[in-house]
Amino acid sequence: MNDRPDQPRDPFDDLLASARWPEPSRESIKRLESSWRSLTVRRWRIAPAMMTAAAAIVIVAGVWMFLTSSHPPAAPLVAVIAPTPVSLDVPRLRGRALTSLERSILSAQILKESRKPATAKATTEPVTQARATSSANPPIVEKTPENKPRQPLAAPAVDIQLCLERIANESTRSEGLVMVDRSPPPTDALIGRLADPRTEIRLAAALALGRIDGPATTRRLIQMVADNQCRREAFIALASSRSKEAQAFMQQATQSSRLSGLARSTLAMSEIQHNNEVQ
Amino acid sequence: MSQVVDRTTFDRLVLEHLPAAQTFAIRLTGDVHSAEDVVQDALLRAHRGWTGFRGQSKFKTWLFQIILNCFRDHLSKLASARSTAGLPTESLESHESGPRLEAQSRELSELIAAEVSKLPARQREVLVLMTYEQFPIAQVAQLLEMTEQNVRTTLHYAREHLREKLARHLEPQSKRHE
Repeated sequence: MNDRPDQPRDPFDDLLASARWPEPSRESIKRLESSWRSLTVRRWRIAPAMMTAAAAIVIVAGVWMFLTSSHPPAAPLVAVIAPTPVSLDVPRLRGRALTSLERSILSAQILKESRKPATAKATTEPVTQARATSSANPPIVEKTPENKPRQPLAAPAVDIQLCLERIANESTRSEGLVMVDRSPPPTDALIGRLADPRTEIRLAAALALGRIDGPATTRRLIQMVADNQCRREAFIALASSRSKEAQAFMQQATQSSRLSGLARSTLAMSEIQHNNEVQ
Repeated sequence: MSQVVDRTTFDRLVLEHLPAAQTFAIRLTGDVHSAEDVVQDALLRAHRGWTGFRGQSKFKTWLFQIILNCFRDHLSKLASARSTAGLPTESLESHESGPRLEAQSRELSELIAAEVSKLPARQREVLVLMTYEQFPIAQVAQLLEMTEQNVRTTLHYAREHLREKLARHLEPQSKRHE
């Protein structure tokens, strides 16, 4: 097209018309389609459920405050994971400030984590115990997050493929995640599955990694993002993770010019995914 | 007609236009990964603001407007990080076999695309919308919030800029066309 359409065709137009950009890959289009479907399908379930959940939270919070004000709880025994400082190798770049929606999504996630007990799930990472200061000085007993005595480590090795297929299927996802809790698959195997040709298996592996959590896993996932290796899947795993290191990284990523788009969209999808699990 | 379309129709329109949206983003950014991020951002905004589409314009125009806004945000972040947008080497296909002329032609096509994607932002937007996306000038003016005269002027500058960059490729080309 000329800049003046009334003039005869310029040979330069043929040169411009010959420009060829790389085509979007099929995988890329499928990822975007999958992202869109995740946004739209969950939308219908969230709105009424959120109102119900909000009302339930207000009632429970009111009852809890009433009970604790009259009956102060005994200092609980807790097993805490010693926080390990993580130096994030991803360069910190300045980007635009978070919008109010993004800030609220991040705050909601962090607030949910802070309200959960310190050991919300079983972990294979080393654990240090803290002696509670109570007048009764009860004996220290190592306990699982469900406050039951720790079972001997004799669980059979989990079938990774079966576990991932359970997680990939929405109707059996929670069952699959429980399998991961009870008998975590090897992290190396799950990281290898982040490159699986099937989208649902990659997502399942990412969710499983987020569930397993741990500083070493978090560092590996962050390195994968920095190396642009299965970047999107690594982001999903980090967004699904409840560790402070992963959440700190995600917060930094939302301010990075390179990563903010991907980080924000992954956080939004992760929030929707988490709400779905809660339901 | 000025009414919100139903959600099912809206979802179908988004999925139908997704490949075109991605192609548009690749032409603007020159980079497949950045284009995917821009489109991902655009999808989020479209999801949040879907009630803003009232059928007054074509859906493609509405979606491309969102992509343009996301592209500008992307550029401003890049500018603040002091990086330049352009075709990264991994997006270029390397063909080691085939006739030499065919390979040269392919390299030239990719070079032209790279130069288009390196134009100043406003010139790039005008050129891609008019030359490659075949939008009429009135729609381009509306999308970019410019007058039609401004669009013509910007297009002229863009073409002159490219003519200068591709000058050494023009002469043999024009000789072949004679």
